[in-house]
Amino acid sequence: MKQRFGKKDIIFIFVLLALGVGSWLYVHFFLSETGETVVITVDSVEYGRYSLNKNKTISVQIDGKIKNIVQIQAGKASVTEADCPDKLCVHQNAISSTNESIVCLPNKVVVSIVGGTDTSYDTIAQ
Amino acid sequence: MQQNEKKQGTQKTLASKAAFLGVILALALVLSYVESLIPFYFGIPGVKLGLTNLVVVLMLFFVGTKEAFLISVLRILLSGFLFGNLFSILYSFAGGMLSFLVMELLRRFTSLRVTSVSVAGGITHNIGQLLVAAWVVETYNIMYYAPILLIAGVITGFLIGILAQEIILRLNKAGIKKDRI
Repeated sequence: MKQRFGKKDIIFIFVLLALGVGSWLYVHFFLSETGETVVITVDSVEYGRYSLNKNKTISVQIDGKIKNIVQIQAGKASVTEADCPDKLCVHQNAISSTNESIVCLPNKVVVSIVGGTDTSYDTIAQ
Repeated sequence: MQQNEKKQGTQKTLASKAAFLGVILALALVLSYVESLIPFYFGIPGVKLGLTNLVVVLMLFFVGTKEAFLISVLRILLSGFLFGNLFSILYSFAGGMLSFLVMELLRRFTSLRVTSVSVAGGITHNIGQLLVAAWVVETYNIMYYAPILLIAGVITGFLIGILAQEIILRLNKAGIKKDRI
């Protein structure tokens, strides 16, 4: 009870911090790339896909009510308005990389970025 | 005669304990409210100050597991009803229960001090919330934010831990019981 910090504690905290920084660096520099398409899903169902390079304002509507407004501008996507109580989605930074996403949990709206080539299909029959 | 006095003695302790827990719960709620007043936006989801965790950590180290658990559950429910919504209660529970479990296990079975336990609590609180969020919107993609929440959890947990540590040390010095930090 005498010391404030034992060796164990310093190592413990340092390792956790290193893990955090390390994993962040890895994700940020190895797994991310600038995306091309904005994908909006509502309750896991795709709502729409839009080009990241074309400025556009999208009103996400559920049951006829406008829930969130997504704006694509200058190669970034952001949520500009929402009817959720906490508005955390509105306060989030604009996104442009393939791993970033903006989520409005109460409305179950997810705005994410995918790369230009949609890799979930091998080919698309015309 | 003696039995009567004994009974009265136990009743007094129970009543005073209830009153004490009530005050602690109120403190936790006030901290929750204060935290909701401070605009803590980092542009990243899930980063919170976690001031209320201060109360839980203090209770764990200074009073007892049962009391800490009680306070934890009650303050999640009450602050959720007061300052949040049904959704936020779900996430709070996920983060709160996971972090409580981890903190208690670390406190009981290792010799790690308050600060480390609080760091672990901060991390698991954030990760727990992230996991539930990923499950609700069925998007594993948001796990991308796990590293940032890890770091944020370490920092906020550390600050809360230092606070708790200093409080306990000073309470000990003032003669109020408890053995380790």
